[in-house]
Amino acid sequence: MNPLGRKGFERVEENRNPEGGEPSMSPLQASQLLTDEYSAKILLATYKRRISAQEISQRYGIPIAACYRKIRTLEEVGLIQCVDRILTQKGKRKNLYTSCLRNAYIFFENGKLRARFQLATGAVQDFGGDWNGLDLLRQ
Amino acid sequence: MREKDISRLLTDEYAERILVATQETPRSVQDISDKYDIPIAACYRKIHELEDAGFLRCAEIVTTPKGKTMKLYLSQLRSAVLVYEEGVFKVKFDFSAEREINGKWIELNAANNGS
Repeated sequence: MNPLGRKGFERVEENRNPEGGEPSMSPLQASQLLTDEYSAKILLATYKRRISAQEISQRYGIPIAACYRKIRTLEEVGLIQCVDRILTQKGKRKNLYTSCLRNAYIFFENGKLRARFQLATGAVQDFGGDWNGLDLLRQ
Repeated sequence: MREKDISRLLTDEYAERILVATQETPRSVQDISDKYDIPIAACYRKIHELEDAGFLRCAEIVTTPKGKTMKLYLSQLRSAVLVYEEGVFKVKFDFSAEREINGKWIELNAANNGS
């Protein structure tokens, strides 16, 4: 038996590939974005600042490949965005990122996990309000 | 265990299921593993991690009909809040048992800055 059904996880994969749109996440996935060490560091590094992947990697001690991968994930879910592509002295293009996340709240209460993200645009994203996996878990 | 590890533990997929499973009823590792679809070895490992962090407590030790003793675990966590505001991460826990960190906001950034 599989009470979680892993449906939430498959859904994200499905939603991520087609042309854009906000990917839906389970509250667990949403909160993992914040509690993952590298993601948290990237969110801090890009908070009210424009910074390149290379700089984040060096300043926060994140391996460069992992840094690019996490930045991509965060960009896909809309928590950070590329605001500029500057030219380096060597003639290479460098993306500058900035965080779109202003506030985030994660609640674990009565065996239920909920998450809320407030973006710089004022948009609010809630996770867990209608996540039926948890009701199944509480059988 | 540091606070940031504790908050990461909370959002671990298996750890979350274990905490949900043991919210009201004391359960055995085997029971949790079966009902919540967690591989048995991972289940033991996570439960020990959660026990070390004070999230779980062994509430009862029962003897199975085969004569094996089995520990039943119960969640100690009533609620947890993780907040990210103004570029600062902080967490607050509320445990059913008396604990020093109950209801206190703990800032995580100091521990998060690699530099």
